[in-house]
Amino acid sequence: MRWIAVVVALAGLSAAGAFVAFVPSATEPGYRFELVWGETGSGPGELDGPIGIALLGNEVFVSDSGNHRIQVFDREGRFLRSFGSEGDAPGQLGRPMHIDARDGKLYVAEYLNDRIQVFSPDGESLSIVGSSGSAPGQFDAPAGVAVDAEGGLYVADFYNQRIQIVSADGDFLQQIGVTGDKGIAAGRFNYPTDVALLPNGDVVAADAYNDRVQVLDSNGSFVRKWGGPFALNIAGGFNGWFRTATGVAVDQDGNVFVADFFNHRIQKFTADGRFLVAFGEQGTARGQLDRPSDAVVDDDGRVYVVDFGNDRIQVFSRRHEAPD
Amino acid sequence: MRNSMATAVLLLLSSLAASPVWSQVESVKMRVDGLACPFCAYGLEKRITEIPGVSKIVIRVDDGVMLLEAKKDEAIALDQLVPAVNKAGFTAREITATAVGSVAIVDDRWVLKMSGTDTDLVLEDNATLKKLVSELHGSQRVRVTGQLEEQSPERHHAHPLTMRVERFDILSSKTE
Repeated sequence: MRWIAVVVALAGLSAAGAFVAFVPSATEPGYRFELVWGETGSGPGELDGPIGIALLGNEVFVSDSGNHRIQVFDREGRFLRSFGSEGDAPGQLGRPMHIDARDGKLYVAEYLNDRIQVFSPDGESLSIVGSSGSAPGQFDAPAGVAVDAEGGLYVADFYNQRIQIVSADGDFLQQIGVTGDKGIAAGRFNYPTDVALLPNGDVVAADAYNDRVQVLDSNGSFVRKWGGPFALNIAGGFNGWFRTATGVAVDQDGNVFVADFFNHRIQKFTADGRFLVAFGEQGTARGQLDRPSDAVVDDDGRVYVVDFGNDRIQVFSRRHEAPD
Repeated sequence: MRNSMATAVLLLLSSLAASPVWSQVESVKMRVDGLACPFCAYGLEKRITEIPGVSKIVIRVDDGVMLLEAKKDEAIALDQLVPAVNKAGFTAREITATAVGSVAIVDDRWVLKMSGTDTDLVLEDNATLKKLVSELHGSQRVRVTGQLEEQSPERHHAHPLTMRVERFDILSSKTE
């Protein structure tokens, strides 16, 4: 009987060790609800399945995917204008997904039109990059886009199971992942949905259905990954684990915010993947989330969250007290 | 068992590629697993949009249902629908269709005969079918809605699918 007790004790210790190793604790104060706007509909300021969000100047741009348009708000959530309508002509949109903004331009990944469309803040279509297909420079349901200082585009090419890097003119530069072939190994993807850039130029990718985040350098070389034990597609609700990581954002300090879709929360990590804190829980009340799809962080550290299931935007700001 | 039946139905539907049997299919309702994510739902929408004859697509993310309507005077190409669903990474669980044709007896079984094809859709013998038949006068055109199901192998013959008629409308009063 004694050996049984020893085995049980060892098993308990192993489980505790694994828990400590794979379930980190919060190491910084959390976030508190500050502001909410939007409701279900198609009128001005109303949203239907919003996906992406970006900041440009003092304005907040939201991809109102169900309504095939971009809506623009001020930072307090007041509706300013919208642009785009369903279609594939320049200026029209086909399921706008994640978006990015840089140097006075808005970049929109269009899921149905297989392109990245570049807009002025007022909604003038400036250029279109990409076409349908799986060849270099082509896309099959681009879900997310990030833009570097030279205007180079990093595109989460969803059905092609890859991240593509193309020039501002659309010339193919680099591919990460194997075209059309999902995988679990480092540098492979299982339906990537979003990308963001770290201050050093590394690429952060939401490897959505691998339930992880991957970081790759601008040459496409794998740097690191995280999300559950060994980042091997083990989904869960613990700190640092994901249930479909659909959106990524980077703040000015290089921290990474991940929209943890089916855990109904946002998780915050350092650039090297160390868990910092998580916030949000499932629900419809203020401060609660229903399948958040994306986030963006302003210079004051406020986090604007796309509350997909609730058809609204919520803003959270940092607490200053110690974590629970 | 349920999954294998659904898979069998899908295979049978796929085997009917290019068959004009679907030329009279007006609308389709399909239950699809895994639609809770918008990236999935819009991906499915993207694939379905490419199918000839599809006019309107409604994907209900919360209950995993896809609804299709045909373009006016066009057919939904169901032979392309199932591969499109598969290509998008999903599996259909239930397929309900609305089709137009005339009801007749072939090989001692009630079938829906549709113009432009020798392939008939076998109608399962149930109370709704009995009611439909009792109200018919001659070979009137009817619109029937019901779930598509596989027949047991020994009953296949030339009619691999059955429709369990759930409701019907008699469209014409004159005998053709």
